[in-house]
Amino acid sequence: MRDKAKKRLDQERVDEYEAGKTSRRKPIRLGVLLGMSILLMGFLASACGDDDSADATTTTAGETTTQPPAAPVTVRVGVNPTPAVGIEPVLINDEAGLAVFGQTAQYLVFSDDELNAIPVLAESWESNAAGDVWTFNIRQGVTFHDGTPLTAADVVATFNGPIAEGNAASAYGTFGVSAGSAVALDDFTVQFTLEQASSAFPFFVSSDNYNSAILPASFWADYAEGSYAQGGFNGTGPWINESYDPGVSGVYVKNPNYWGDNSNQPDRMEVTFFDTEAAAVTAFQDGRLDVIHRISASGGQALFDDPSNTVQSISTAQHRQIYFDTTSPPFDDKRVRQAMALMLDRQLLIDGLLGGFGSVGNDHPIWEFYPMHDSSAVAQREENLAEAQSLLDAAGYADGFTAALDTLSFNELEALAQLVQSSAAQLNNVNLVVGVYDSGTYYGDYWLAAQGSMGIVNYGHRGVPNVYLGAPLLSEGTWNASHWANAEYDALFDEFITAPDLDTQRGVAGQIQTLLNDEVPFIVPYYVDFISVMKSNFSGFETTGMGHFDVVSSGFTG
Amino acid sequence: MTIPSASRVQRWAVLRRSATFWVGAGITLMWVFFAVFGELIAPFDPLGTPQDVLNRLDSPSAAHWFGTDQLGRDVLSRVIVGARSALTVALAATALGTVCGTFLGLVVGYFGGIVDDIIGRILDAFLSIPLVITAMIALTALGPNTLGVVIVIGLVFTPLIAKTVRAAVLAERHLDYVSAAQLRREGPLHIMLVEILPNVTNVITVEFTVRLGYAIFTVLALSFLGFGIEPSVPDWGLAIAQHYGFLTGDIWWPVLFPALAIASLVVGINLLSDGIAQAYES
Repeated sequence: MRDKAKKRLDQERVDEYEAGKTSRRKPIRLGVLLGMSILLMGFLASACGDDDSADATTTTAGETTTQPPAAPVTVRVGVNPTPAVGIEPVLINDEAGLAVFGQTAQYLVFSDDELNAIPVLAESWESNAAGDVWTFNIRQGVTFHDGTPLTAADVVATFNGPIAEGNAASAYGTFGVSAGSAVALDDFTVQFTLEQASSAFPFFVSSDNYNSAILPASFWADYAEGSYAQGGFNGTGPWINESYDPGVSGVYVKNPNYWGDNSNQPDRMEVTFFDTEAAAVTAFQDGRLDVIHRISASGGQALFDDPSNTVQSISTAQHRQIYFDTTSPPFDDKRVRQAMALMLDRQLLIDGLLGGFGSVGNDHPIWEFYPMHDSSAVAQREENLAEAQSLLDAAGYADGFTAALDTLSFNELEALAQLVQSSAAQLNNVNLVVGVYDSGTYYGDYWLAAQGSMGIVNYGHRGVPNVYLGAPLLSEGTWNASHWANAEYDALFDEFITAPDLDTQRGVAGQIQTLLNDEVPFIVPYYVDFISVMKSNFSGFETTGMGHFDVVSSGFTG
Repeated sequence: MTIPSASRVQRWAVLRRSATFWVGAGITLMWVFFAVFGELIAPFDPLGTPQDVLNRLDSPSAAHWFGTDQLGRDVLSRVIVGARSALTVALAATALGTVCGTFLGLVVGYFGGIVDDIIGRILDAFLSIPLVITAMIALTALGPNTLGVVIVIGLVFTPLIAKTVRAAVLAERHLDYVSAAQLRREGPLHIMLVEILPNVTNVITVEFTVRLGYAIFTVLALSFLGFGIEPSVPDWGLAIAQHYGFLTGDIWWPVLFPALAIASLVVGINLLSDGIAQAYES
């Protein structure tokens, strides 16, 4: 059975939330209610049945048998690719690494697949009116795997420690937090003072900022690269590491002292790493895996139509940026950039390259499911070759041009580059020369060095768009591959980050959407769904758009 | 001094009777024909259109005899046109290697002595490194491009061909016609190119055809590894690289047909080479 359990947020629900008609917690509450109802029905059923049925010893047809204890349940997860820098809290910057890190370590807040900020090690939080002082109440009764209780001192040590020094933290600069800004008010209260107000600050201390998992103060005091693994991957998470073979596998056992409800948690989890999707697919087909954590639409083709598998996908803000060097001809003229954006049939790209597992982009990174997205700001850009050609004519490129289009070897990017190339070939004599490189070569030699050329780069999911709007777009942005400098945008970005409430932020977001759609420093052709594949008798596997996964509530049927 | 024309007639007679030669020549000429006129023969545009992607990975059918690839392009058309990149790059690289290797082999074989010792050891050092590894290192340094592939493979083949030519020249240099030329006070360059070279063309011809087969294999191995060929260009090695991941899903056609094309061309050239070698041996 192909069960495409697509958990796409529908715009109507977001609109309801924005209009105050419903809470973002409503779907979760509904889920909890449904779950409790099932538990209640199960309880009533067992209460109305034979009392003996609940005992370990049962009598059937006059014979007395003793039921063996339930066999330990092991979940086998395939992760592709192998974690790039190992499970190193300060350096992790890749999907596989953060996915495995999140099994043993936890965050103050979890950014779930529906953009909710879920309390985890922080029970609650609040800000001052200006939004530049945030106070978090730390959950009590939580212990690390080594038995040490969690306190505010651990939180302060985490945020004021090595991750705040800018060597790898994913979003520190963008969120306006500096080292030394976290202060413990008491054993279970931490206060952050920001350099710049931010209404999205809870997402900064969430799983979105994947280097900010809370680890013991004693760990940070003696921190050295590699010490997390040497210390046995100590954390507060539901899984305790039993063994870890870098690049090969990790074995985890259930944390008996976990603070949350893990009554249905499997006893054991085996994580196997694969260098290629093909290797993961083969292992899955051979029955060596119960689930592949993430697979691309092209790589998972062999599994999607197999009725013994379940395909699960979630919409994410992960997207591709087709950027232009805006400082050199021909792309220093925005009409040329607009023409390139108009030549693409976005739905065709999604259907052809992603098998439909994606949603259309509109040349700005404010994903339609972000609550601050302004759906009325700018119309969806559609393919229009005639208009594209007339824009080129007006810009002085009626006879076409030749330009490089560079990208890295990652998922469908090579195929996308070729489709962009063949789309451009529909215009008069526009010739794009595609170059595909390994990620090291691309990021080292091509990404930020674009000279009169185009490129395609991937951006992973974030719970809020701050990172997308900062580094790749600000005039001095460190990831500004298009070399686009626009003072109006820089001012709008500051307004966006410091907006005190959602309505104000949406107003600014609308202006940003309009400006980016008009200027086109890069094309956002589509957003990519996060796809997992599992055996059809396996359920309860949860992921986020960034790649975190959770099997605490998973199990097998039949 | 050149070989008597009677020998040529004799060799041609052998070639005419050689099934090996004619089968090899037939296969090779077929691919040469495809390389030259591929676009006219191919049933579809090998580069495809954006809309083709909706037909991606269709299995072989009446419309697409070899199926379609990951972007919905016709595999048969890309196999036909793909002969061009394999043959042009391999021919150019082999020609470069043959010219350089022949000249080096003539010099080393003719002068001998310390020249042979020094250059011979350098050639041995080059030959000790596996061919594809050498090419990959060089292309990483030069940057992947088609001209770079031609130059790198040509230079990598140079010592191989030079060693073979040197051995042939060693057998020639003490013959009377070389001594006579020296007595006529002809310069070394003249003796090498005008006197000796015509008498070692048999060795060079056979070496050229043998190396051409290796060159095709090397060119396609490099394009499989991502060196030198733009992704949209119809290329057999690249096609295999782009699609072998789909084999786990029983999608075999984008891989099998380019692989068969490589095999047939390499076998064809090797048969051609064997036929020529037999003719010279006769």
